[in-house]
Amino acid sequence: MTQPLFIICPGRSFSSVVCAAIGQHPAMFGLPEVNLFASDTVSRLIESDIPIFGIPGAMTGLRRAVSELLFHEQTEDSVNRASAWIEARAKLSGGAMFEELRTIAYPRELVDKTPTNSAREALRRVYARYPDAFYLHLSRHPRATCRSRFAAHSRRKAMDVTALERLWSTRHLELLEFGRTVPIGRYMFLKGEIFFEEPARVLRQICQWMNIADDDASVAAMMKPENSPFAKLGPVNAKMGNNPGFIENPALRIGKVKEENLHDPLEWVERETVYFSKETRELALMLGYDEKI
Amino acid sequence: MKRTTQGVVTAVRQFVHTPDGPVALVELTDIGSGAVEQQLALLSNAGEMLSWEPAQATFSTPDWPGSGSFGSVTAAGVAFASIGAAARSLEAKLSLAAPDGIIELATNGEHVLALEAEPALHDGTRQRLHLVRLLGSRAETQRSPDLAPLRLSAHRCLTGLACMGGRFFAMVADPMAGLDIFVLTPAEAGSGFQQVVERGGERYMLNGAVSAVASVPGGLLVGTAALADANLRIGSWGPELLLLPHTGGWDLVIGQPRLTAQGLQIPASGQMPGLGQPANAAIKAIATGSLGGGTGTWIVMQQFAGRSVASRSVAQPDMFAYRGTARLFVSSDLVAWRSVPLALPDGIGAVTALHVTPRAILIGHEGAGARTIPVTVLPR
Repeated sequence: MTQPLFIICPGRSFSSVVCAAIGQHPAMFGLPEVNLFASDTVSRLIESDIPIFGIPGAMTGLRRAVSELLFHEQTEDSVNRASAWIEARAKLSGGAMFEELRTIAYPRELVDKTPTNSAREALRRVYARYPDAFYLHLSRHPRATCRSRFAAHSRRKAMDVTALERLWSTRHLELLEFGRTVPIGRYMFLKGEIFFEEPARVLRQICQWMNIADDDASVAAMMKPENSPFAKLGPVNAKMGNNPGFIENPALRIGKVKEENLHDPLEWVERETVYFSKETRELALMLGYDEKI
Repeated sequence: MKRTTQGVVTAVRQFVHTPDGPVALVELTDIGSGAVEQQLALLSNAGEMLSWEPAQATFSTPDWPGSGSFGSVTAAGVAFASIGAAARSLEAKLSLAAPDGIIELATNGEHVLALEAEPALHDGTRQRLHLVRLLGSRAETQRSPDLAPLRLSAHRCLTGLACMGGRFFAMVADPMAGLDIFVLTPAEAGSGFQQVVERGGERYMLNGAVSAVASVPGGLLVGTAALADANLRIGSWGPELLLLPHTGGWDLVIGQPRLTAQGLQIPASGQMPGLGQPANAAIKAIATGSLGGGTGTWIVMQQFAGRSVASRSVAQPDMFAYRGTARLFVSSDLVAWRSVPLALPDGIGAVTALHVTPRAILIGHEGAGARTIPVTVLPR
């Protein structure tokens, strides 16, 4: 049996489209946001599934994934049956349920891009369960990441002006340190912008890294993330469970991503003129986001 | 030993193999004026000094093996360069505009590529390259290569030259975007620099500069340095060892697995940057040779001991300050590496050169004011 792939990154780092693309490989199955490592047990995950504006939250992706894997469809009825299946296993740890999903998906292997996996405690749980898994550390330019997060934030007027930058830096610092502790060959860094510039080349190399078929047909399938069963809205009782922007426009947008810089003021801060900190700029350089001088 | 200068010894800059024994290029600095003079010291294979002469001295070179480059230029514009298998004279008159500013030479036996960097060592805007054609005991400047492809600037500077298979390699440091390596083929009329390694081999800032180069049977071995200050020593930030094979492109020997335009790069050694030791911050010297009957490749890694820099937008001397603890490693196949169990003395200074003889390993380093040439010989 191969090993699962975990995509780790700060939110808004192209993880949905990358996960869906890799998940289209015949040997892989790309999950939506299943949040199975966000808490100790499935029951705690169920408790945290508080509806927002009437729409269930943390469990939606898991319900859709179970529905697709077990019943090969995502209808209101199949999602209800999936919910019952999950609740019957409420005492399991998230890792144990993830392992059940792996067994169901077999011979395909799972790709998990859940954003909460990248938080320190969740990543500790993931790694404890899967020390031999593949970990793909994904990045996006700090300016684009922060701007995207800001636009998506429901209470942006009240935000600490440096919170978004801090979140980007802290998460990447933690993930770089994590990469140092993982056995060689199990951690890979990918600058997201390069993925969009040359997706076929990058996807083929990811196949080689994970030791799965890298033939033209497999890569061609991966170039169609829109074919993912989670690239569209789910039924009324499990609509989202994935990044809304990806669901809205799931096809690969191949080409050079808009150039960003590290030196301009942070455009999402209106009250004062604020720049990226020295530490953020240095970290950005480490990840390949250099200034154009 | 005879010394013909008022300057003090400041470093050994290079070793070269000769049939008479290894020759060390010794740097002396006049304390008053800061002027630098270079002298040649002939050593025995056990590392003992046999003679120490000003650079005007020449050594008989009837049949030098190897292809290493070695050179210095006197104020009169006389270059001394090992010609390797071509077995040519060491001495050639170069028609250089500013011989005092020549800090490095590389030669392929027919041409010399000279790096002029005076007075600011790390200011790319004040660096020049001279391509000189050797004609017996004299030489003529053929052309000054177009440096535009190298994009030299206040934060991008040439840090070294090398030669392999008749082609010249120019190493450009970039503390922000990562090192670049360019190749020049002088035999091809009108050819310019072509890029062979880009943006630190797509490791970006963490491969900020080439810090050591050596020609080996498989190609050109390149050691890197992160040019790191002390602020962000996170992740696997140590140096890498790259191999530029004769066939083109580059391969990873020691380093971080990654996806690149050159293909998936997994280190042949299975070893992470710095051989997994965070204190190994730069590969400072590389040498191949036979010691005690065993053939191998040796590398010296050294710790960073400079001050933090506020900005990487200008290449600053402190970024290159690798003067901390040095460690020696060896491999017979570039795959399996082991630490050499011979403790190096503390305070060795910046390691500058490495040479292997059948009887000893010679480690050249800085050593301001040393009474003898700063070479540590192992085994001691």
